[in-house]
Amino acid sequence: MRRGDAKGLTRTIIERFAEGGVRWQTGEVVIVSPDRLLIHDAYLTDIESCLLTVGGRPRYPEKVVIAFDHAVPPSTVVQANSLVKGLSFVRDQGFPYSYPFEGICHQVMAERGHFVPASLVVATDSHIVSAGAFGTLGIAISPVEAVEVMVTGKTWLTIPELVEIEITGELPGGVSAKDLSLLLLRLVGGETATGKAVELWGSAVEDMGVDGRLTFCTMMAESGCFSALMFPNRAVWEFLQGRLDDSTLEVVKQDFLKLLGSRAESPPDLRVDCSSLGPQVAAPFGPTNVHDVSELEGERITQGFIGSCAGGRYEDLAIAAQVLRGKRIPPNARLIVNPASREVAIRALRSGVFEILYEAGAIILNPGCGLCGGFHQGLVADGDVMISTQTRNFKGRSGSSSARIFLASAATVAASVLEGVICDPRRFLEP
Amino acid sequence: MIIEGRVWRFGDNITTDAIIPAHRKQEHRDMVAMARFLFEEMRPGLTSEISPGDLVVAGVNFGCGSSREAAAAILKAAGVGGILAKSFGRIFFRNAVNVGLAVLALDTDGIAEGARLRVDFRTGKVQVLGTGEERWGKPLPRFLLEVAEAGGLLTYLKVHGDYRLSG
Repeated sequence: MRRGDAKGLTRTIIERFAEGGVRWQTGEVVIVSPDRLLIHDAYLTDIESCLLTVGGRPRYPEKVVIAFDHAVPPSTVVQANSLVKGLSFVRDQGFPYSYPFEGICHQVMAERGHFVPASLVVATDSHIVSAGAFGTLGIAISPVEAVEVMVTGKTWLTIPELVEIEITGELPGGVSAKDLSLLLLRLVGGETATGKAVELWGSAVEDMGVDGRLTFCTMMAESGCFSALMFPNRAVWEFLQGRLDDSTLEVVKQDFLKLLGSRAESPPDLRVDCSSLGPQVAAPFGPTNVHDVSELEGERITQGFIGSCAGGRYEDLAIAAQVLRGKRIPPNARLIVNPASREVAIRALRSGVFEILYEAGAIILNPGCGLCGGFHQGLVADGDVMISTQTRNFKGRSGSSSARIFLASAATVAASVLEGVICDPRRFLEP
Repeated sequence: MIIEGRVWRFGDNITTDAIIPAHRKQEHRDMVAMARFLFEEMRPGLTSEISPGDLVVAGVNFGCGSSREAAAAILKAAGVGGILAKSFGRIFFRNAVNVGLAVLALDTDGIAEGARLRVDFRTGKVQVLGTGEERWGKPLPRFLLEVAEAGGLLTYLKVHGDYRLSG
């Protein structure tokens, strides 16, 4: 069998949700009924007016998850009106899974048990690829398709080619899943994984905690891939304890064990060892423009951001606190922090992480997407140079189009803001 | 679906932000009103020069970056009849088909700005008018062609009532 046409976990999951017989040819169109549809406030107005045009009512409101994360709290009257309209739409349609102000949609999906191993979810957001952390197939769709999923319960997919990546070794101290994901983007670039189903294996993947996995899979979206999947590990099953009821969890585990045999037998397309990896930084203006931090050290920084679906998790806030403990951010720099969810924020509050960050002078904002998408609060000015844990650094993404954005791990961001220049965070992390 | 029109030529890795910046999407709701901001940074004023049915021709990864649906919708609203590129951003590709914009993947090297093409999206045949040159692209699967031809997913489903895969 040709390598790219190997069945793999991705196609096995698609098969579970596809209508009719499937012939497994790459490029073939199949109709699927996903378990969940995720939508958020950035598209709610469009979806609402589209639903009105179609004249249908959502047939499966219990399949829909709605998060308000991109423009909350609102910064303009347009955003405020949009929010209020969106909240009443949700109420009128009777959607049971609505999470206003709980945090970033993908983090909330994980926390509330909507990322179930071997299930299929679709979303009006490219970073739904993050679902792969749980062995859940997450596919991005357009708002028009979201309306059709609400009304018909179905959408179309084309069968993708498979790319297998094996990551071996152990991440060195001070180097995180975020750095590893940036390395992967450097290696697969804009072409290798475009439109393809990525499957990730190896000891480094097996060892990754839930926070790291979610961040890693989120960043894989920047390769243009169809999806990214990891086999659930012990950390995932532990995380799901209490978030899925016990009987469901047991069934899901058993179902997943049966899928073990679907791993393709041939050697991986790419093998990477991460044992000597150093911190990585993506330079303007693309997330695949990745360099070792040593190549960019000394670059002046005016703002740092710790947040987004690729860097606002507890692990990220905690390591930033490690770097900043007992220190003070210099007056010429700003550090903005948006925890990925209310749950993350409560944990950071109780563990003392927030106290350390506040003492250091960080500006701590609400759970949500924050400045990443350029909607509100903390936008960059003309000539600003920001180092950020966000997902993308296209020109003009988070404010002024003359600002430059570098992407890095939370540790690198904290250290760089402290020093006023891009720097290796490891000297701040000595035990 | 056969389209004949003038080529508006672009390079590689054209992002959805280049097609229409995020802030324009926030400022305006109406696609027709927004259409004049198409390629605002790269080729300002382009929309006023486009004749209905003209073709956008590009290199690799056309429509990469953010998943914003407005990028596909605005191309359609501006009168673009179809897009030819070496490859497409995955979500842009979905958005294009779903709003009724025909797309075709083929080697676009040598297809120049200002050339006139006749494109049969069903067969993938591309003729450069006035030269006798012929190229072949990889046509969309039948179902997706039907969605694009119907004018997009909403119209398709209104007409057919359900997703109909042939064969």
